[in-house]
Amino acid sequence: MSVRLALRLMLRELRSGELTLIFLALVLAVTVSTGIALFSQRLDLAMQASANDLLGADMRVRSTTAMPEEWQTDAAELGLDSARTLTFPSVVVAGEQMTLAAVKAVDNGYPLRGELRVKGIYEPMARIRTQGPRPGEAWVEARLLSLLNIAPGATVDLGGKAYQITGTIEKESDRGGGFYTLSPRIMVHWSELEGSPLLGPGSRVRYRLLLTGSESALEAFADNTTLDANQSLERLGDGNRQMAASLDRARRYLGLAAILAVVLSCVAIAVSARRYAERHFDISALMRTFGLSRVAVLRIFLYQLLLLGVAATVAGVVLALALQYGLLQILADLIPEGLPPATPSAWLLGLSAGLLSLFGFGVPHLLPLSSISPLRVLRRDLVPVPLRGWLIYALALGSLTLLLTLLTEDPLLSAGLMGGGALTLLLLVVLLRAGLVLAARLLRNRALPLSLRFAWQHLSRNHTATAGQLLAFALTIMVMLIIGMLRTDLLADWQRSMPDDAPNIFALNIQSYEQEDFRRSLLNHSIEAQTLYPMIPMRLVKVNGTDVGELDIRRDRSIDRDLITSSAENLPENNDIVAGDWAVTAAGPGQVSVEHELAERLGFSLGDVLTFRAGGIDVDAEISSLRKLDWTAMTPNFYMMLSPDLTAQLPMSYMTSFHLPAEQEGALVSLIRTYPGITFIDTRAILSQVQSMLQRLTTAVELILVFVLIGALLVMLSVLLTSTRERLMQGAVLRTLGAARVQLQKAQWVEFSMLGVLSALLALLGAELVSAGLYIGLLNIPYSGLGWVWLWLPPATALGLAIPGTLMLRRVIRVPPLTVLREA
Amino acid sequence: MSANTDETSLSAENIVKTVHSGEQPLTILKGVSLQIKRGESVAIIGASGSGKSTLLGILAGLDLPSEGEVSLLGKTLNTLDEDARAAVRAQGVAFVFQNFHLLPGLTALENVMLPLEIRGLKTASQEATDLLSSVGLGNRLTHYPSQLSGGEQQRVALARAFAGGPAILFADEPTGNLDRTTGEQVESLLFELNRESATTLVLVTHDERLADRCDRRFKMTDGTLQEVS
Repeated sequence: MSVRLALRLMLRELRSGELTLIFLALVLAVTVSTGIALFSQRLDLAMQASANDLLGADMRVRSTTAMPEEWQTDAAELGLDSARTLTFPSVVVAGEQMTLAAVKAVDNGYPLRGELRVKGIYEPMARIRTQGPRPGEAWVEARLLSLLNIAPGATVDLGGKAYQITGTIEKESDRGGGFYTLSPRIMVHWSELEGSPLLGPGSRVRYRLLLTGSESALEAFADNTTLDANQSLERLGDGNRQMAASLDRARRYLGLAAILAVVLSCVAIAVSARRYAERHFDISALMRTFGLSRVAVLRIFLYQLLLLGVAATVAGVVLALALQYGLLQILADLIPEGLPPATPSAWLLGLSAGLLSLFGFGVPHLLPLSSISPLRVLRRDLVPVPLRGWLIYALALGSLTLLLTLLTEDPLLSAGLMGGGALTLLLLVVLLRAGLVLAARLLRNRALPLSLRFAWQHLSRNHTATAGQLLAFALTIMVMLIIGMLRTDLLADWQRSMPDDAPNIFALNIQSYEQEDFRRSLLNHSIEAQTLYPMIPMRLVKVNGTDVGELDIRRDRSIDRDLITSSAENLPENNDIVAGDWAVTAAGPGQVSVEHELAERLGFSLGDVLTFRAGGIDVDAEISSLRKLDWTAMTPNFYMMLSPDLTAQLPMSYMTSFHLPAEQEGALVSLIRTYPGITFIDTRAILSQVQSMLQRLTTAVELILVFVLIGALLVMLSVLLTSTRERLMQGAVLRTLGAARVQLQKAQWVEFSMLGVLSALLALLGAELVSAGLYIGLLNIPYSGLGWVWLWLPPATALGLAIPGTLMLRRVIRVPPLTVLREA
Repeated sequence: MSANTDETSLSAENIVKTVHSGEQPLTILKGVSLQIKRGESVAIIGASGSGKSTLLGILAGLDLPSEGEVSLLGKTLNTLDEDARAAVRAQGVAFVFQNFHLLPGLTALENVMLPLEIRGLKTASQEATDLLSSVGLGNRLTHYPSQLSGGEQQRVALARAFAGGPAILFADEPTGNLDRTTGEQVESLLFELNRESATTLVLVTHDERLADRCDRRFKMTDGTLQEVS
């Protein structure tokens, strides 16, 4: 009986708008938490998949020597798919032309992951390939064709063997980042190079074993395989950190926005539920006079809430699917097709979000309905005893923490957020109370204008209600402030890491005699070049006088190969000294600055003396500084930088990077023609990909902001509605006492403005505290404070509250007071 | 006026009600006794603040006396807890209030249906429609309280009170919020319905004229009750 009755009553109430706000807030909570949970999970999968693309595998082993064949057999036994590749630089010849190319040989298993898009000779467009080139054939990047001045179909010579070019590579997602390998690609079949003299001692060949399969099988492989010092395992996150970091930040941001939207909808639920309960004291009392027991009355309201929760959950989940679909669409390019679906935990969250927020924030306000005295039908002043304050807050905090734990899958973070939030709130309450008491004391016995006195009396008479309203408004504004500030800074941070004028072309192998001409040519094309850095291939032969061959580090990949070193008087851009003194390095004599991660790996510290060999000459250099490099900045980066005196007598070429504006395409062609010896590396495709990714992340962030905004509006609306009846009554009474409309209107404006200014000030204070914590603790972005917002926000909030507030109360002004009193 | 029988519908023995507000306890009812037979109509009159509404609440089982004993429809209320008293009300107690207590979100029909639905009556809608027609509001079924005049609202409240055929009806200043003409119409309707359904009627009023239409009249003065002829 109760369920049907509850349903019928609820439908009637829905029609009258009583439950609309609670319903909307519930739907918002479910939509945002489920949508973001689904999206985050799938984004995680996507990030993993895209990182896998860059790796070309789920895991790979890299080695400077050929790997044992049984590794592949082991992998197969574990159920892993595998493929072998090897890469090395070599010269490719076509007739009279020759150029340095990045050779890659692939076996029949390649590619495993990622995208290999190649255009065949007679094909109109490139298509995705599932196998590499056949023996005797070669696929090359278009750049190689132009460097060799040949067309597809031509034959090239590599290591004494002839290959016919049968395809042009347009995308090779596991191409790898380091730009020294970015000479044009030539891809051939693995079998062509087995036993080739090209792979002899001294060649800079890199072998890779690519593996894909289940996580457990990969773990097993990693555990069972003993690697030599010259071999290493590469897993996710090793490659393309910038993209991963941006996506990760975006995900955190979306998660945070979702949390805040959920918090806001919970506040809206609490405020509306309280108002709902208050407006149902009469019907509860009436139902008791009809003979319903306390439990039966409570059951009707709980069933109503439950039904509402279920309906909101269904609506919310549907909307959440739409939301995550929207987000996935926005980020479509970044996310491979055919993602596995989200795990049950995301759905669990969706199904429980509505009920949890309802339980924590709605039910506590409804419970007193059962204890209402039926005598209320005769004595309107009888109101039920509300639950104890601490119980209400404990229930709310508890359920919110649970909800956040489901959302973030991190109980510690959730408890921390909740604890921090509760403390901030507590601090605000204390400040608020103190402020109200102080203001009351200051204003006592002051002759204030009438409207100001009305407004102030109304605010100060009921501390608890005023504090509640102020807190709700302040919390809402605070959330908007934080989320808005984060958005701006996040975007600015992304933009900073990828400025519009970032260098997009690298020029290598600039000879000493042509560096002045080259610089002039760039200037003629109005291109601003970075510094020209010398490039000196050097080999590290001794550390503190001991031969590297006798040291543990002898098999490290930076030993037994040429390192490109450089020298400069000024510290290159995007380099930071983390130890020692650059001035000492630059002044010389005989000094070197080492990249700090390399130094750590090789166990070098300040004061160590390194011996380098270049062109048959050995030079000693003492480490006088360690540098941190920004590998994401598109500027030349060097592991070793020697003091200029050491490099002065060595043969060297130069390199630089510059920004080529889109409309200057012709300049590049002209430069390539004028300087055939200079290698140009074009990174524009990569850059535009990163930029479009950032653009899409920005859109995703803005979309989620809309939801936070809806949450904020719901809170504002429910708080304003809560006090409307009382304000209408008061206004009507004042009018019967002869207050002029203008006076009333003024009083309303003053009161709402006061509320606005006070809540804005509280919100600003809270936002400063919380954001400083978030920026430094969670997002690793420097915090700069709110600054000018302190000036414009309080008046703006005053207006933002006064306009809708006075609009809601315009009945007092328009309608005869008797009508208002009768309705109330 | 009504078809009286000897069966006692409501009895009160030496009712005392003391409330503790402020420092001094305040005794509102000072030993009130009365017996009302089934089908009787009884008026309790008195000035504002004389304690008549407090007495009504106690007689109807909405509140308990500090001392004394109340028996309603054969059940001694003092020994029952609130839920058990609610069960007694469910058996056949109805109310009409000065300020109608209609639910603003429900239509006239839904307001009348509510007690019937609470009792699980399947024919609630039909019965409520009939009742509303009998109070002359058959054409206002889907109107909300705010769309009805005061008299019409009280007629809806009457229809609701008589829904389910109560054994006893408590009315608290049923015409107190109405103008004289409308009040008289509602009064007539009240007595007519009362006669038709042989309901015991206990009404509290300060309107002597309304009280005169009842079988018996009691006057409340300063916490004591006396029958007046």
